[in-house]
Amino acid sequence: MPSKDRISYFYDGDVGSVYFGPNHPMKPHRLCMTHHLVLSYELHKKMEIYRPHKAYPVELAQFHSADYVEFLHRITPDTQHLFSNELATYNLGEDCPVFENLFEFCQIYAGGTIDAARRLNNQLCDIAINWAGGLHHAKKCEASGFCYINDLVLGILELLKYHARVLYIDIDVHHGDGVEEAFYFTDRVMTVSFHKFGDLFFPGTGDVKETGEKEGKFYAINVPLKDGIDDPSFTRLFKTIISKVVETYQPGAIVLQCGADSLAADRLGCFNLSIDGHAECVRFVKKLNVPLLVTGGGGYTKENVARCWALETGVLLDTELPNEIPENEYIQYFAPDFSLKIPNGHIENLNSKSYLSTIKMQVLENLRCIQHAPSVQMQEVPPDFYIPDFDEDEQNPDERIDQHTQDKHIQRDDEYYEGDNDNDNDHDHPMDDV
Amino acid sequence: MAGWSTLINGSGLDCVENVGAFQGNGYCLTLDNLENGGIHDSNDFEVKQKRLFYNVVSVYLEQSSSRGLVRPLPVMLGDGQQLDLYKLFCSVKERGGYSLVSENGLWATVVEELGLDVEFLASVKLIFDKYLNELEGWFWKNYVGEKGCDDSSKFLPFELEKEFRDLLSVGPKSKQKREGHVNLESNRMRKYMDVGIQENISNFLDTKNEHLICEDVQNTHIDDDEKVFKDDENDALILDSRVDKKEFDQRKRKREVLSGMLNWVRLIAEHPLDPSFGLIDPSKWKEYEGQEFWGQALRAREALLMKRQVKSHSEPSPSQKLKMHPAMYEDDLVHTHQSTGKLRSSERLPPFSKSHLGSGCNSCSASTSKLPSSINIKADSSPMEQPPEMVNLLAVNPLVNPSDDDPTEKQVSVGPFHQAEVPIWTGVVSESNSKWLGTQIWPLKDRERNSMIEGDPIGKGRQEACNCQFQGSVECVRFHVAESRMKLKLELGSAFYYWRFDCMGEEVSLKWTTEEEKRFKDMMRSNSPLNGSFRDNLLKYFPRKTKRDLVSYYFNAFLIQLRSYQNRVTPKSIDSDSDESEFGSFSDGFGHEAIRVPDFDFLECYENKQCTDLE
Repeated sequence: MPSKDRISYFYDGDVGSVYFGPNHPMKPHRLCMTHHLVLSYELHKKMEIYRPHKAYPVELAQFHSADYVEFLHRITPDTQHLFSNELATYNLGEDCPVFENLFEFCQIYAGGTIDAARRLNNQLCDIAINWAGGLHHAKKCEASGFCYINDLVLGILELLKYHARVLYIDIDVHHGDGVEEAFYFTDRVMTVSFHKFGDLFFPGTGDVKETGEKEGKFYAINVPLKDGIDDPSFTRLFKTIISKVVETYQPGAIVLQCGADSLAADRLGCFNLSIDGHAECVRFVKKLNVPLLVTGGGGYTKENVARCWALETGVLLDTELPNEIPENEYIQYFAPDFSLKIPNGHIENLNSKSYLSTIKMQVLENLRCIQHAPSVQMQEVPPDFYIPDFDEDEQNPDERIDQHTQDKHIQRDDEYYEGDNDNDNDHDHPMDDV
Repeated sequence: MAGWSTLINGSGLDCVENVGAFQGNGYCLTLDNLENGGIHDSNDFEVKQKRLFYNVVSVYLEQSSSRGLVRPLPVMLGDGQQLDLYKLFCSVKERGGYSLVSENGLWATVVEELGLDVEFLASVKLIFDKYLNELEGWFWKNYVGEKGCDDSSKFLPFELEKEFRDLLSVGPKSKQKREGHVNLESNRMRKYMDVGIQENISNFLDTKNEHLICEDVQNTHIDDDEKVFKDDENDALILDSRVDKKEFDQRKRKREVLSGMLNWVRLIAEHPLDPSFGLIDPSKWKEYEGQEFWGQALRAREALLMKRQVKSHSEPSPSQKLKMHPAMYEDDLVHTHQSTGKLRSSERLPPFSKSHLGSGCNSCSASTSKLPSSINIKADSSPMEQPPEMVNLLAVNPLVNPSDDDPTEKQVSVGPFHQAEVPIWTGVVSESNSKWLGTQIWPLKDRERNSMIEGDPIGKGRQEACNCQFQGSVECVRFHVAESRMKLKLELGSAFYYWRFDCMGEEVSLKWTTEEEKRFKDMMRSNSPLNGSFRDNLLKYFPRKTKRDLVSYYFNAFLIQLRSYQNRVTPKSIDSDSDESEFGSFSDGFGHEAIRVPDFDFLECYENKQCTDLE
């Protein structure tokens, strides 16, 4: 069955030889394995493959502070002993070591995500894939959790040039704190993260109570989970929440971070998801038929990462992959079964039904707050020929809303201001004390 | 946090100013008495706790005998000697519990501490296992997650249980041990707090920062002493010149007593319904009479607790009903998780129970892991100055809420240094940047593609059968890998090189001489990659190779050869989690030579040659 969607896939052969250092769980070689597996399943015949440009420092500085980008550019393993203060400031060192070609690596994966966003913007494709991207922990002025440059934020900023609202979905086992933080104050990006929370699990943020602030209030959604969540509970929760989110928020584009550390048997993860369960989420998002940017993310058992992302590339191409992995250079990594599927995990599922339903209720409750207080940004994307007949800066924001939205809003007018006011008063008291 | 610390500083100053007055009404004397009485107290304490302990044990054993497990008391060793269960329990607890003791092979020291011969090691361990292990488990459960309370109170009366918790939190021994660290630790803690204020507090959960700060604490330790000494000089202006070192100490203590009290009040305020914080025996109130605040706080606390206890008798689990925090819905498994959760490398923070267990650097590590919660830091810094009960109750604190309920959990950082600048949506598509969209590699633009491959179905899997003589043999697999590689190469054309497929797989090893390969393997075998200088050495040994070559060889040739060896020889024990640990299985057990199956070298050459032939 041929795919109706046009797919752009980004890969640069140079990422495979990046090495974080001995005993570091992050192994970019997994990207090499993924790409190889994708090719051995002959998926390349159904898509276009691009080599991303290396993002320029000035592009990276769209989000990151210029001094941080400059420092990343300058630092090398040989000179790092001279900059111990800066290393500490930018949180480089243990989790985020300085290695050779660090900056080039950042440029490649960030360039991939930016290019992917641009291709989507120019409607050159419907789905863009960059497995090298998805480094969601990186902050504006510092590295964090193996992430240096936050390509997701850069990609979303790029998408925001064409789309009023962008939805970010994160199924990495770790909280997507960098992206959430970057867009904490805005309603133009809704971030939804499903992650393990509690027991001081990295990065420590991501409670259901974190919902955003200011204009961004209720536009950050967190789904904190406990160890051992399995396919049925995860996919059910995912589908319920995401369908409600999309219905409410009506994003112009979706960015999906597919961190593979939420799979069973991950070196750093603690969930029980099978590759099928993980891919089910990807399938679900694809079916929403919204321009989609798919990135990688975590994933520290590299054979499984390659399996997962190859299978998900197949899902995005509407191609079912047979379970027997074709012969390829890396076949030995897929021993002993040489098969695509992995057994389910056996970690005890600590997510009780009541816990999950509480979380779900709370998330849906927060979503309702958006419905009652429609945002400035809720209008449809105007067609290309639309030229606004007033100067944006001189307009009273409230009037502007009305001009833009009077025809399109289906919300009741009487609730509009009420909701808006509630919004302001409730800053310090999210819905958690219900 | 910052506000809170000024509060402390403020109170510290107040305290200093009032010193004269306090001295007048014998406050220092009270402290002295406390201190001198300390030893005396601790003996009493021990006896009391011991009695309590045996009460609990006998209740517990009764309980288990009703389930058919008979455990006679007193406990006799092989030679008729009586074993003091309390001592045993304490010394094991001090070393971090049964599993840690077993893991670290500390049973010998436990036996020694009990004054027994090493020959009894096994039986002591067995006795612990039979008599106390479950009790210990119960203790951890109650400690680590409060939720266990309800179960446990099934066989323990409430008061007994509470007292028992006190007992468990600080045995007299560990208290003595801590005493020695008082000054050191309080200094450290002060510095720690200072550092904490300077740094962005929200980043503290990060492992890396923890280390940095620990270092900081140690490095600046001297500084800190000086600072304290400066304080002392300033104070001397207020006080008369008789102030000697000893009095200085007392003053410092006093200050800490006061701040400790503030911490404690704060703690209670934040956990108003938690019985595990600070119920003080009314008879002890006398000791605090000089300190009005203490008295008031204690009375207020007492009143609160009375209320709470009345409630707790009428309702089975009031805390669950009062709070709607999602964590409350969690099943009763916090404890199990804590113990089964693997220690997962650096991205995962140290499990909580561990930080509690250390004795020497206890407070340091415990608070690093919980730094954002300022109360914990200070709770830790103050217990040494408190009378026994207070010590217990404050020390319990870090254990009570392992994570979820913590009101001071990590927050999202906000401010100009954290958020992205998102322009307001204007309704117009902003600049269209079509300059950088990536370079198309595939499909090939110049139609150099070989059309004969087209016929293959997309996404087919591995073929079931082939014409090889020995299906599934090393030769067979190698042949098909080479075959598919050739096909790919023909098909991909220039893309093959863009994607670095020319440096992928065992192809990489072709660029290495046999001699080099052997040297690389030898080095891998003899060196632990943990060693930082290892890679530098590698570079020295292979002057003509770049780091990239080495990494490439490592992933494409070395690891694959290792895996294929493991797949055949030890398929059950492949550790796919860590590439590095595979060296372990390499060097021990089967030994490196085992990889050289008789015709291994020959095969390699043969297949590789075939590969090049086809090219």
